[in-house]
Amino acid sequence: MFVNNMSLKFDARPQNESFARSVVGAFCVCCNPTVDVINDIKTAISEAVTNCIVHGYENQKNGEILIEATIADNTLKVKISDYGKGIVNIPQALEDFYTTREDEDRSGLGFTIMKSFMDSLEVESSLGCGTTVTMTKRLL
Amino acid sequence: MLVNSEIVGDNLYIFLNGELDHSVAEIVKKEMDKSISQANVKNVILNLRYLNFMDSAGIGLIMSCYKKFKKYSIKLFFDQPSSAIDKVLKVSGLYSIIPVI
Repeated sequence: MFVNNMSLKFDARPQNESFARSVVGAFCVCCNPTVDVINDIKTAISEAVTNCIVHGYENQKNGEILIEATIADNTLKVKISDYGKGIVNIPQALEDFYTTREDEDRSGLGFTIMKSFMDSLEVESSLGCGTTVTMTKRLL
Repeated sequence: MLVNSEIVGDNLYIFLNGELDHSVAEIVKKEMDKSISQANVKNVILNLRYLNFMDSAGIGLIMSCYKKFKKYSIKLFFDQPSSAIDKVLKVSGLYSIIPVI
């Protein structure tokens, strides 16, 4: 069975959102997914990375984000981790339109998009230690 | 990310070109606000033909514009949303309040 792994560690800066989604998108190309599948993955990665920057690190520039991805059996499994403040109430954070930042033009749809664009989504979080989002998506 | 605008009569056409995410949302918002303050417009048409990426940061930005325009009785429309961002717009439910012309 074809198995491929990669990991990527980068600074939690908004400028790296585009970099991160492009890397994961490019990593999946070896399985020849459709453009729509690549777009779904890039959008979900962008949401997860934005959450790390805006919520995990509250826009402080000294955080790190780790992406670990595996492709096995034509399925992508990707973990996005930060070491920031963590999520107080995960079920509430997963609700459509829920946002802690009403004042900042946030839609509250980050997790909604991750859920609907990927095949599975899991969120693990520990207060003061960080958050890991794990998503899978069938590539073919 | 490029933002261009053009006024024709009562209509303000805004063309978004590139990738709209959290890193550029503020810049895009300022550009849009600038265009709107320039003229006494009744309709804003957001052309999304060359917007090849958008995530929920873009949805938040458009929702905020929609609310602001509503106060001034300005109508907001989408024009030619690209296939890449169509799914995000569908999931967000924005099509139900902002029609495509």
